[in-house]
Amino acid sequence: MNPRSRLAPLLPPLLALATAFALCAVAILAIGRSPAAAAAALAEGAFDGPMALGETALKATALVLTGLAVALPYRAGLFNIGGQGQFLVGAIAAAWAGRTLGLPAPIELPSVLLFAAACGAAWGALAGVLKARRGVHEVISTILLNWIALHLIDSWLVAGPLHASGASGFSHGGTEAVRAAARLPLLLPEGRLSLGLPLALAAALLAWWILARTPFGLELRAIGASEPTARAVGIPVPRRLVQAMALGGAFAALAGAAMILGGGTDYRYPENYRDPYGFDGIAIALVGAGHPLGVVLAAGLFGALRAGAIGLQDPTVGLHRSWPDILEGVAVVLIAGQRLFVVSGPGRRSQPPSAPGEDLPEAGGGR
Amino acid sequence: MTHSTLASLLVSILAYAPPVALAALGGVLSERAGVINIGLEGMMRFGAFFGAWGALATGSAWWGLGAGAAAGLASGALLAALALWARADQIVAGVAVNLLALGVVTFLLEWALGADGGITGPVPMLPALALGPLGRLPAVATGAMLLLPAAAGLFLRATPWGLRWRAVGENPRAVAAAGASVVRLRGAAVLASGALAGLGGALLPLALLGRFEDRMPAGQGFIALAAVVFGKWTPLGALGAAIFFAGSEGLQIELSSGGAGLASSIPRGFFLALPYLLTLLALAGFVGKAVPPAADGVPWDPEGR
Amino acid sequence: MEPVLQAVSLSRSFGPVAACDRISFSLQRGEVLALVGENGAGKTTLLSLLMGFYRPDGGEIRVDGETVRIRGPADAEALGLGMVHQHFTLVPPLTAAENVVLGREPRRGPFLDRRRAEREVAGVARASGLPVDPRARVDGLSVGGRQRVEILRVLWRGARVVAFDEPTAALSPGEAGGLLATIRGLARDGRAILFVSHKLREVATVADRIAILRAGRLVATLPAAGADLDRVAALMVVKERPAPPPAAPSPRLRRGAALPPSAPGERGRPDGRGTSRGAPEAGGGRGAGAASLPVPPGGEEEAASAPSPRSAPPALTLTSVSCLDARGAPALRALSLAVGRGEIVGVAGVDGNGQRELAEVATGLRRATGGRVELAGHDVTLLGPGALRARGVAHIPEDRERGGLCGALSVAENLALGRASSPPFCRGRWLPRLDRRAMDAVASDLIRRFGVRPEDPDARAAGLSGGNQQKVVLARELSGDPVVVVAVHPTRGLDLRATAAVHDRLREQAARGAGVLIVSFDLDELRAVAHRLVVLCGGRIAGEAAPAATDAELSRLIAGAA
Repeated sequence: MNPRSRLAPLLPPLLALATAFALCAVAILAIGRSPAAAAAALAEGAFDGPMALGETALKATALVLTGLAVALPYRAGLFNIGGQGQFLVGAIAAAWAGRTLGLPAPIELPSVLLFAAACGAAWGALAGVLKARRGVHEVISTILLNWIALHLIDSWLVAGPLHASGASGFSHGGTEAVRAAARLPLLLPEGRLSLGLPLALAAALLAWWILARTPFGLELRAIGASEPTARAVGIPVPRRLVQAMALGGAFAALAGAAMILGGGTDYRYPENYRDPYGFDGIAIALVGAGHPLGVVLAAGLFGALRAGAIGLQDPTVGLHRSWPDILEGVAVVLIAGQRLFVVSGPGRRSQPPSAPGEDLPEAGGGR
Repeated sequence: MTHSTLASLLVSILAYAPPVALAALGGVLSERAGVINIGLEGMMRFGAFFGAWGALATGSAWWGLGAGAAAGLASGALLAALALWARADQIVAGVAVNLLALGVVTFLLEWALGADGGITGPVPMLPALALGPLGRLPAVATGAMLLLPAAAGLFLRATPWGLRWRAVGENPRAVAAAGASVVRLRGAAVLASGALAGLGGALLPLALLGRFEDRMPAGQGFIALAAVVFGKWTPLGALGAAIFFAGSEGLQIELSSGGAGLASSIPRGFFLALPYLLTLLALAGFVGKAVPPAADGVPWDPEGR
Repeated sequence: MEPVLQAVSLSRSFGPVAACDRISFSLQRGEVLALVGENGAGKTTLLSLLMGFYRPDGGEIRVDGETVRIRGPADAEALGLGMVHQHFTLVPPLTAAENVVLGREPRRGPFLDRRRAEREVAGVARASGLPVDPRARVDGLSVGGRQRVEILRVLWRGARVVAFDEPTAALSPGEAGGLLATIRGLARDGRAILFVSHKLREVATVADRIAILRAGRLVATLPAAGADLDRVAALMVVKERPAPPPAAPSPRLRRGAALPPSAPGERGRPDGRGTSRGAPEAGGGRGAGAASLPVPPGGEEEAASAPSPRSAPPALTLTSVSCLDARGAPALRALSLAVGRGEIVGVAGVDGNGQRELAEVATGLRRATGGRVELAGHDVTLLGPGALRARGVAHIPEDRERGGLCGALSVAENLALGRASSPPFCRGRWLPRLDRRAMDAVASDLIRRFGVRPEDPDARAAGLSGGNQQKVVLARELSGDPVVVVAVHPTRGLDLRATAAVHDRLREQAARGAGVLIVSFDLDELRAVAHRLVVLCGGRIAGEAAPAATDAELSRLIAGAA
């Protein structure tokens, strides 16, 4: 009914972003460079011409999907730090399936994408099962699963069974390139703007639809809002937690698949693949306030900044390409510390909660 | 495996374990007080960079070590400000520290040190023991690795402060009821955690590699986090876990370089993933249940329920 | 002799509620002063003022005749005031001695002087007759053992005044007896004791004087020797609001209309009991519901009397049900209770005697470890909350934030919780999706019917007042024509009008034929709505009363029940 109140959650991240931009501008001034020139260089690197657009699109595609991988479980009260591992799982799954499946052209690409998503979902669900069944905190388990995925893929699959056989006569250390039918079609003759970006936007729409328009999504949000209430009204909380983690894993895996199939890595899983999109997804979800639309906007912004960062290194600008990373870090610090900066925020309560005289401050003790 | 390979394995463990062991000790100290420190990776990164910078600027590895610890302390102060003062989600606060370290260090590396290709020139190193064919033992790092956890264990077990430290991670209300400040105790814990992680990070350039690389610490902060859990939140346990993890990595290197027979047919990836896998199994209760402090990660709200 | 502790016109309000209203009393060395009163009478607030957890709005506290300002627990401790909390503030993995000395540790150089701590704690334990092993870890101690550690902590810190807040609530009868002896011993040693309790019988045995609090005021102080407990109980009860006579339960009901849609497999279950339920039952003074119940070992069959129609099984039947509480201690002990159709059964009793667990077992949130739960004659013992809800169990929980509502969701969404996957909220078989328009329509209708303000289905539930939040919960729970309604403290924190509205809703449900189980500490509330009262004590039904019973009778049943 009131559109303002619905967009209100996006306000703190927007303020944090604005502040972060301002702080970075001041810092750039302080080291004797020009923020205006930096902004111009960023814009040029991000949007000027099909090559630049393609880079922005490729990065934004991955960031939208890894952002959703964090944002969707977050609505159910789960913090998925495992985006990176799920991203890598999706990438290697796509690299393998895109090379091996060999299905007829029209169903090859959807099949490869689905396979990658399923692998990521299974990897994500592991953390969900450990949480639901064994009470293992998902933050720790997903961090561990990140490294398990990385090492198994890097030092086993890519080094061993999936290693390019060298039939092409030249060894590049990664897997073999995926078949043409498995690649995401390019939308422009030049650059790397592919079908990946529309697919990622569709995924964001799907995430929004799931959360806002399905009973399942309502149940996830109910769990995130108050788990005791969700339990009391009969929502099967453990099952939903596993499903939320699986969905998150599927989104992150699609990001990995989009990098492999969208030409981000020459259509193969490279040796020592280290693109940190899965970790970036955490920042994207935080800046996007956990909302699919916010995730899209944040991913678009940081995708453009990342792509445009090449322009910063131009001698006339004289800045390092790490500035978008700094901006991202500062923004997340500000979002984390918003209670310190938001003056009108919830102040210290001067009254005891609920029934007066019923509870001592230490009633309820323990935790 | 011959005796000499065994000995060189031992030397490599003693060389490679200290950074993780010190950061893990930091993790233990902060989690025992009830603050999860996801920011260990970023704190190690700050410590490694400022350790190298300090050593380059002063020409002394010892000053570098101090600078690394101070940088870690400062990043600990940031985490404390976010998690305790601003009462941010501890995970979000830790992620913020990691992200900040990523960008800021990369920038400083080029801007302040003018490093090309993300690698500094050689930095002064801490004294090491030459062990002939077995290689060099970074004596300072190894000594710190063995001494500091013991000291921390003694501190937690045998001092009044240690008692409160442990209590605040289990039931902060009891500590508040006993008249001590929960925020101050936890703040001290996070600062100590940062300093130790910074120290551990500083050992990477100053004791091990002799240079700073942009990819540092390459996940060692997360290994440290796993070591905290695998060591069941005790200083000596975390030390043991760090040594075990370094050993599994060292063994993998030994096997892949000179090994033959069955062991060498096991892919490296399994050895590398082993520490994390074992930690996960320990958490799930399949390999000895790892139970965190009761109030670990629970923000302190003096008026809440 | 100068009183060691004196309160002079001590007041403290929370918003419009005066939790303590000009309370004055004095306490001598060697004296046990009992503070009695109903829940919410101000006992705990008074202790909080003395211990520095809250600051008084007015009045003063004197220790040894000197006016003092107590700004926190540390100040109270320095003045020799100590408190044994109802919910212990101990650190479970630490030893008893470590817990006792925490915050004021004896040192030797930089180190904790563990040996001295253990010696001193053992010494205090011996002197006060509290058997505690200083080296035992607290998480290995019984509830009574933990309480002894709490007491030792207060004594070791040199308290001259010791306040006990409901100290026997969590103890077994044997442990409680030992504690009362300990308290007398502490008084003999010259300490002054403040003893807060509901249980008049133990108050009479341990106290020298009894101070009676009612609605924040101290209404009387009597010598305990020879005190008339009936009179004390009568003084505890608020008299101002005369209870309206409860509406008579409607004897004839739309039988079957409210029967739960049980699963097909359930109906044919060959367990015999379900089928015998429909048979005509022996009448007798004990009521129809109880007659067919197997007599539980505890012999609480008198609890199950119900004015339910002869031929239909009661809406809810608990037979010899046992369960554990959240900490794994027995909470219900072979409890039997039947709630007939159209009947409102009120559950009274002191907090922590199994009320919460009773409601949780009845709604499927807690698994019974023994016994049998039946819903309209069907065995539902093993069903979870979702399945029970689908069969017609409505739950108005104790805590709206933790069980009733999702504050971050809208009113319309909250009204769909728990049934969002079925029509009219959900459409589409293959692709189930929320029908937002239907949700809004249902919400608008319920908002109107239940009088929720603001009349906005999109309003966030967290933004509503407590009364309106409760209306949302009622609207969701009662709009599905439930077979059984379980309401726990349904009017806590609500104003008079909202309270009356809640009571009307519950009566409406009973008139429609639902069985209503209402748990409350507020006797007036129970007397106003219930047809029958049962008193819960130690996880059992300790007694039963008609709502027409006098205040004094009821209070005494509750207060003296243990």
